[in-house]
Parts: sequence; C-alpha cells; structure tokens
Amino acid sequence: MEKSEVLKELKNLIEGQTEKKIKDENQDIDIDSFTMMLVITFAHQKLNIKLDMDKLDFDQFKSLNDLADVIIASK
Amino acid sequence: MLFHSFTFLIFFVLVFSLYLKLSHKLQNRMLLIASYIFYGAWDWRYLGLLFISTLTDYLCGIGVENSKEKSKKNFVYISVFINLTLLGIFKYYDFFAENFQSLMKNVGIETHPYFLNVALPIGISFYTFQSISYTVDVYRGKLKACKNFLDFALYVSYFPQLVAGPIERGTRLLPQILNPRTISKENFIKGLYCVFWGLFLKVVIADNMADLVDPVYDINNSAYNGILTLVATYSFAIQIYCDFSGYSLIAIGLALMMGIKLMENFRRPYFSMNISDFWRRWHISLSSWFRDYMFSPLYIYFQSSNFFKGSSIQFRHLLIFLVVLFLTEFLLGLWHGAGWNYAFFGVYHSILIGGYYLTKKYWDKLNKYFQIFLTFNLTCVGWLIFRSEGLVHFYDLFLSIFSSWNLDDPNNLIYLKQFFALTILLFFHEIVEEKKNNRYAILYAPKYLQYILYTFAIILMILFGQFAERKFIYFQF
Repeated sequence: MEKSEVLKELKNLIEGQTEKKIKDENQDIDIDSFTMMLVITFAHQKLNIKLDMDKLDFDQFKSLNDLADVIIASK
Repeated sequence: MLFHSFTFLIFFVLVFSLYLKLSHKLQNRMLLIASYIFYGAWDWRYLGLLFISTLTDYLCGIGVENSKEKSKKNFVYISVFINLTLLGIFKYYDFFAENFQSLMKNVGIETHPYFLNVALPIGISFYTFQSISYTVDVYRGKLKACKNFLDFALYVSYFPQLVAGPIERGTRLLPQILNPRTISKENFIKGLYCVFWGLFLKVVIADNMADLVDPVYDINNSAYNGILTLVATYSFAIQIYCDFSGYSLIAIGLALMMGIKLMENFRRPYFSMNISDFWRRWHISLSSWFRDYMFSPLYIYFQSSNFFKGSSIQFRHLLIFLVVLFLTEFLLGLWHGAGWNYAFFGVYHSILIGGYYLTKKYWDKLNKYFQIFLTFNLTCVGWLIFRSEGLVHFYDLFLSIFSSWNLDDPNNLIYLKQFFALTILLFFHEIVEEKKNNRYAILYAPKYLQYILYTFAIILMILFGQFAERKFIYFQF
C-alpha cells in the first residue's frame, strides 16, 4: 500500500474515532494511547504490518504523517 | 536530607561551588559521591540496594549489546527480575505475607509467615524503574550501552531526582551525563525560579493543607462531618499536588542550575478536560513509563495473538485496550504502596479512563469548564480512596459526604478560610502558566510585578512556611 493510501485510511480511522476533522496530514492531532493502539491494530489487521516497540516513540508522534511514516517503515 | 531543610541548603551550596570549579569528568565523580552521601544520609544500609540495581543494569546493558540476537532478551529478563525482586522484598513482601495469613485464616488454616519488618528503602520504586528502562531501551536499540560504570552509576543515583523522580530515561539523562554541560545565566535563573516556586508549593501550600487533611482522615476520628470530609478531600487533592509537584520542581531546578534538563513531571493536571488528559499531566514520568514498558508491549502482545481475532478492528481494539488498561492501572496503583486502597485507586482510574473512551463523543461535547470541573471531582474521589487507611475507611468517609453534615461545627469556618486562602495562592500561579502554556510565564512578566510577587511569597514562607517538619508524601512510595 502506498503512503497516500495509508494516510487516507488513517485519516478515516482517526476521524471516525475522535469525531474531529483532520485538515492537514502534518497537523498536530494530539495522539493519545487509545488512538495509538487503534493504529497498531489497524496496521496489523488491515495492512498485515506488525508495529513493534523498537520503532514506537509516543512522544514523537504528532501527526498523520508521523504515523504513516512509522507504518511504511515497518513494512 | 529534605530539600527544604537547612542541612540540604549547606549540602547543595558545597556541591554547586565544587561543580563550578571542576572539569566535566571530575564533576561527574563529585556528583556521584554527593549522590551517595545524599542517599546514605537517609539510611546508609540501603546504599547496597542502590548499588545492586546499578550494577545489574550496567552489566545487562553491556550484555544486551554484546550478545547474539537470540540471547539479548535474557538480559532484559535478568534486569527486570533482579530489580523487581528488590522491590518485591522490601516493599511488598510483608503485605503479601499478611494477606496470605489472613486468607488462610479465613479457610481455617493457621499460618505463621515470617515478616521482614523492614522500613521501605527511600526511592526504591523510582530508581529500580529508571534502571529497568535503561536496559529495555538498550535492547530496543534506542541507545548504546554505557561503558563507564561510574557515569552509569551517576545516571541511576543523580541526587536531585533519586528519591522521588522524575523517573528519567537513559535516552534523555545519560547523554547529559556523558557530555559536558553548559552552565548559563538563563538556566541558572530558571533553575532558581523552579526551586523557589517548588519550595513555596511545599512549605506554604502543601504542608498547611496537611493541617486540614490529617485530623479528618485520622483513622481514630469517628465523628464524621460531611462538610469537613469534602473540604479535607479537596485539600488533599491540592496537598498531594503541591507536595509532589513541588518536589519535582525543586529537583528540576537544582538540575537546571547544573546545566542538566530533567523531564517535566506535572503540567497543571487540575485543568485536565478528561481523565485521559489528567494522566498526561500528572506524574508524567510514571504514567509514560507504564505506557512504554507495560501497557504498549502488553497491548501489542494481545493484539498479535488470536484473542478475538475475527472481530472488527474497533471492537478488538476496544476490548484489548480495556483489558490491558485494567491490568496496567491495577499495577500502577499498587506501585504507590503495599495496600489494597492503592490497588483500588488504580482500578478506579482504569474504570474512569475506560468510561471516558466509551462515552467520549458525549463527554467531548460538554462545556469546557464543566469538563474540567467534572474531571477534578472524579479525581478527588480517587484521592479519597488513596488517602484513606483502607477500603472500609474510604467507604465511611465517602458516605459521610452525602449524609453527615454538621453545620454547627465551629471548625467549618476555620477550615474553609484556610482552604480558600491556600487555593487562591495556587490557582493564581496555575492559571497564568496554563494561559501562557509556559512554566516560566511569570519570569516574563514586568520586573516590578515579579519583585512584588517574590516579596509576597517570601513573606508568606517566613510567616507560614513549615520547614523540615514534614517529609514529601511520595517518599513513602
């Protein structure tokens, strides 16, 4: 899956969970543990990508772009 | 050696004077000696435990780096095992022995377990966690193992944060130890400001709030008065915040004066909009530790298993999240002390967090100030559990808030006056920081205003400050 598709899926997933519109992929979306874990489940079940703790630095994840980058890096 | 004692003042002046004159390497050696003197001043017998934890993770870090891929994890297991064994023996053994005896007695079996009856080694809950995180981070490839034992020993024992945090990470604190520091005027002033404000929070607000809390929460006090219980609970919420954040601020300030930046541990938690927000503002170093080293790995483990494999992403995520949240918060509660009220405190917060995420779309639509009000009050119920001498005591106190109101008690007015006076002092500072979103907001105010504020604070400290009388609350954890 290309990064643009990952971004689109993540945007739908997080907007559905938070009920807040994300205008920009670099916007700070205040990612909490709940959202981060949802992304991990999504990456595993939908994209068959396992995210592991070696690559997860929660304090660095601010935007959709950050999340997409870590998913692509784990492919 | 309490931070707010004259002895510590002399100690720090000596340490800092030497620090200014020494080269980087000698600074580290001097700080290590000073840290061991600081810790030994509490009880020299427990220096051995600090040393064992230090040596364990120093060797485990090197072991992780030098081993083959298959064997690396064994060193993480060794680190966790040894550190948690130290913690388990000195903090929890007697608690579990007592509960075992009680459980056996309930089924008609008399047992006589051996009780250690040892005092809790101060800071053990903090430095063991800091030490474990280092080994795990080396294993995860986030940092290189430290080859110099003395520098690593300083990372574990650095005195400003040794006995009550912030619980630092190797990725943050080690590079600052291994590399030369810059002592700048800006950092010195900011550091001094943190120490000053931390002292004020502790000796003026926290310790005077304690005078309102202790008589009401005394287990021997059976004359419950709903108003006093309510005021005492709110007072405890402020006491524990000012006590703990005061300590953290002093630690951050002392380190900053030496050119070392410790992590933020509190970010105005009583302005939280919901309970999840609260745990990102309260004891940040502990909550992030549990998030990174327990919650997330456990979640990933369950998520990779066949646990409800065929379910939708949202359902599976929610279920795993709630289960792991419960386990993590239970242990986080128990970290605070060997008592069922602490475990229940953790479970209560897991219910609050889970409840928030289940009702998020309704909660987030409430008025912002109402969210803050609700969150604060829900947190205060947690503090009531936390401060009680046990679950029965909590139950009695909680019920008294709704039933046993004595409006004629002359103490009501005295309590309320003192409570409001201290709360206003705190609230003023907090609201300025929150609006500016900057801990140092007051440092940017006009000079004349700052001088007025500092003079006022110093007068209050002289008139009402309680120096070296009460220990910091988190020392008991």
